[in-house]
Amino acid sequence: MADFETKLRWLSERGDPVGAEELIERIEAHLAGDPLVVVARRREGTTMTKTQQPPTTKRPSRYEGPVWAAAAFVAVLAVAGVYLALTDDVSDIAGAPDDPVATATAFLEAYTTGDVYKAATFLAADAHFEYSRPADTGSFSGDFSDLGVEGLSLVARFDEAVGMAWLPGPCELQSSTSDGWNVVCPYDFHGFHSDERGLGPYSGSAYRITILDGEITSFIDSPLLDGNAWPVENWDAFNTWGRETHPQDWETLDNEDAIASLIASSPDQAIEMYERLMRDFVAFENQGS
Amino acid sequence: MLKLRSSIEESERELITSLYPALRRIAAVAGSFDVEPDDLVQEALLHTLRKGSLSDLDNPLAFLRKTIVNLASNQRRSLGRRRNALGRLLLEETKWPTYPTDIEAILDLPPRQRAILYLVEVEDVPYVEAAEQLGITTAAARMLANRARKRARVALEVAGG
Repeated sequence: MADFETKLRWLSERGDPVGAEELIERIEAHLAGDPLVVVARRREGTTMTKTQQPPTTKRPSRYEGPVWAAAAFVAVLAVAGVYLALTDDVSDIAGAPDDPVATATAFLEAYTTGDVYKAATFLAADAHFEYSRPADTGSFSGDFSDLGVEGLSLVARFDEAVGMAWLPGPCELQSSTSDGWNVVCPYDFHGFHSDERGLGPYSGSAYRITILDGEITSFIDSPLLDGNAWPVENWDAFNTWGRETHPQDWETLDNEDAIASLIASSPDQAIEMYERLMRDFVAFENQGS
Repeated sequence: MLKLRSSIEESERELITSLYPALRRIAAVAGSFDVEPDDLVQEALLHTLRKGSLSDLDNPLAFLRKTIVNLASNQRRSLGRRRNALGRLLLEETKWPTYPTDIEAILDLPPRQRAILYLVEVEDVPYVEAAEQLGITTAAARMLANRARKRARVALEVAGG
């Protein structure tokens, strides 16, 4: 650990500090010529004269480049400024805003239809990812890089095996913090082929998505599996039916360690078992209907 | 409502002066090697000052450090995308900044992992406080730190042959 410490300490002291005083001067210079201030003055009808142009910072910026690039940058800032000036409570974000609602919607379109490769393109590599599912078919909470596209693909396969169907509603921008834009997308869902059995969909769930710089940095997918008709109409019905008709499979399903170990060691076998049981369950439920 | 102002209050000036060394250190650790730590600190302060007064913050150090790490993560992603795009076009012409090879294992870690490792290992900040400074839960902070240690250790072993 001492090795980490040495390297981190070295890293923390890299470069030549400009000092607090100069930093304050630079910040004041930026604030004086802040596009947000300029936009507000224009909205108030104040004309900016040449002498009121923002002063330059003492230290040459490493971002200095062609004039057109600077002009484009200022234009982008001005547009962002207009947006921020017209919108309350959305200024607390560290990064230029893409359209977070559009990003969330496009991501969910891919995610809820099992297009995992497309869905993964919306997620930051170190995005926090959380999901939970019924019937012990999995749950995860951690960095998306640890789940990976393969993990996501497995989630989609289990979802299909147990007849889950996701019906996302319109996403809404809820708030913004220094972590990014927080978007909430309510959804209904079917499970255990409830749609084929004339039941559901089950409402009250919502995806919680945080977006920073156009990328999803946190995604929480936790369907409401309690406190509604879901457990009685599906989980309980499935268990009651299965324990009587498929006792051997239920020896595994009723044993938490056994089912967890089967899913971890032989996911294909577990998926096959769920598919077979669900097919029989739907057939049984629809008998005589 | 968004606050627009063009100067810094005296109390804020004092606060910035006292927080500057701590903010610069976290910026140097979390930021990309080709980003000046002072630029990151400046950006975080500007971002915060545009929103309101520093004196209104309950814990200005934690808030500003969190903002710095978020900005660093943000820049790393943008930089990564730019490098990917440029890499396809200008692979042999593009020169990226160089740094001592033995620091590479640390720089390969995501900014948040670098920051948590620095806070708990170098500054001896308790996990609860480090978590607050990064805007995450204590459990997540512990998890991040463990993951960072594991990843950096493997990279250091590989580099060491």
